[in-house]
Amino acid sequence: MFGFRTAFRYAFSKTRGQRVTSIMILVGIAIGLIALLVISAVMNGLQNAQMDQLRNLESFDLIIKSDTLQSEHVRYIYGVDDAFRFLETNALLVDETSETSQSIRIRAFDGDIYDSKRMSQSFTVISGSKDDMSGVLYSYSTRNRMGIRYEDSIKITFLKPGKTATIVPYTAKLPVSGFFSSKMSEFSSSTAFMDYEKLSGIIGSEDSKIAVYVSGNMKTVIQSILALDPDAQIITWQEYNKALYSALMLEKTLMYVFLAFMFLIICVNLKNSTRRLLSNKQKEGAMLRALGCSRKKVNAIFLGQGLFICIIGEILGVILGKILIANIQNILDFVDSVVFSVSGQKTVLALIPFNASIGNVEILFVCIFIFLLSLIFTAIGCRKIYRSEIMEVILNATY
Amino acid sequence: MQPIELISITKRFRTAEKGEGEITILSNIDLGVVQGQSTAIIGKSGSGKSTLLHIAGGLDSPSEGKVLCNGTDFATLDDRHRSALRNLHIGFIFQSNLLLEDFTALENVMAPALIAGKKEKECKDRAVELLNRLGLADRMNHIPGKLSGGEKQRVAICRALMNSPEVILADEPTGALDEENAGEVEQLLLDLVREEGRSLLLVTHNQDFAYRCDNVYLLKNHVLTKEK
Repeated sequence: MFGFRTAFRYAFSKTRGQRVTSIMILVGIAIGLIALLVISAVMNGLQNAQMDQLRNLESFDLIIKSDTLQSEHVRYIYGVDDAFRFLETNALLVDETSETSQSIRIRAFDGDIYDSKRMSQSFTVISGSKDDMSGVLYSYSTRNRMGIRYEDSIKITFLKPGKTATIVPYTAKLPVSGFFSSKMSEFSSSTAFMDYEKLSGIIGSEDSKIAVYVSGNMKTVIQSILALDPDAQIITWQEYNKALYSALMLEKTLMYVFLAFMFLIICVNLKNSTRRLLSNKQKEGAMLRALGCSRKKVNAIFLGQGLFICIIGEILGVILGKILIANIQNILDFVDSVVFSVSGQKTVLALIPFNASIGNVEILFVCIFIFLLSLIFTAIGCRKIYRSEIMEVILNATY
Repeated sequence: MQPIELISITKRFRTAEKGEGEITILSNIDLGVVQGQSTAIIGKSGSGKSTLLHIAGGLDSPSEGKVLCNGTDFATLDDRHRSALRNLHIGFIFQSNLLLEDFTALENVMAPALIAGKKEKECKDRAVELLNRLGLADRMNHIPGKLSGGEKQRVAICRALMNSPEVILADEPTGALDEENAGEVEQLLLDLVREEGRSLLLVTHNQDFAYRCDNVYLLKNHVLTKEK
């Protein structure tokens, strides 16, 4: 208890400007932690938003290739939100009016996926109707790029299985049945939708797959699917988006590494502050030894003062960081309005809706990391006390 | 059994310049601190008086010889046990009234007992009693910066007495005080020996103070000789 009390007093000692130094380090740790938490939360938010779009539109949670399973079988598995059979093929789009062409991926769903909760979060039909699939539903960006209009007839060249050759080109003129927009520009510009029966009539249904939205435990769902069809090929959204997923994880790891460097600088300050405190308090350290404190106990007191600063800084950092994260959207809106009033342009962050979020485990991990770093650097700062001899310090005490 | 016994103590220091070898500060010194008596060591500055006192208190180690505290050789103990022995059996008073700057007078006095792991209430009662006895009742909640030199030294004496040690080691206890305060502190220390039967080992330049003690030794040319 005496050691605990002494460490606290030393951490915020009024003598020789120690309190100011301690508060500056404490604030440094708090600001560093706030930065780390807020940046992590913003990155998590942006990554989650991106991942959600990918899972809603591009890769779904699971894609199953099975010769025996039907989407109805999968839909009734516990933990599955929805399941739809779909076909996908690449085609060449030629607009004779505007004399433009582009390659496009055409997807066709067997069932009303467009009304499903997950799909509708990221997908909107702007004109035409998703119920009218007599033609092709294009994205708004394709419409703008190719200059196509509602009910135009567009020439589309598919590759379909041939009788004498493996694949043969097949061209059909199909009307534009409407336009959609999605929250993923890459997806919108490269994808069009059409009726399942119509597309299977052209390219066949041998390559059809089942798109699955999962709300429960992914592993359990996969096990249940494999129990129904052990030969089923299952691709998870992480596997489907492996390159992007890896890049996002790498980005996050690198961000942590760079922010850790920032903490190294704070910890070097902590070490220097501990050294300064030691030189300020060396006489008292020697006195404590004379009064009966062991070398280990005196060292623990000096180590404790550094850790007090660190813990209080961390508590402050976590509280302020959480408040900031909860209000990040308001702050960004405010920054955006200021930038807009000055420059007339909106900031990038205001254009991307996201929910900044950080888990308690992540916060705990960051706090433990900072605590350990502080412990190491304070211990380095305390090494001097191991080398000093009490008698020499007392004899050389100048104040 | 003597509370502190120095047997054939020799202390050498390595000189700063390389190749100069070692210099001897203390040579083959024997000294016993007798229970209930005051002992003063006098000598010129740099003669090794403080070094001898620090060796007697286990703050420094001799190059040769043994220091027995209540019959236990300091050299046979590890740092933790040596510190505990120092805490319970020896009270230190230094020349420059070394007090903990961030603690009040009361907390300073309580420190040795708290280090020993005694209960806070018990420590506080004893510290208040000591401070009252030494006329510091109205100064106990003041930090050292707000105390005069004499008051600080009296707080240091209270602190040295806190764990009721058998021996008090005092290094120039009046060296930084004016005549009036020095006289008060001298009387206080000598009264403690007479009234409470403690032992006092004192290092001083003050010949008058030294000769008021029961035993006087002169440290000269690294050797200790009895003067009284």
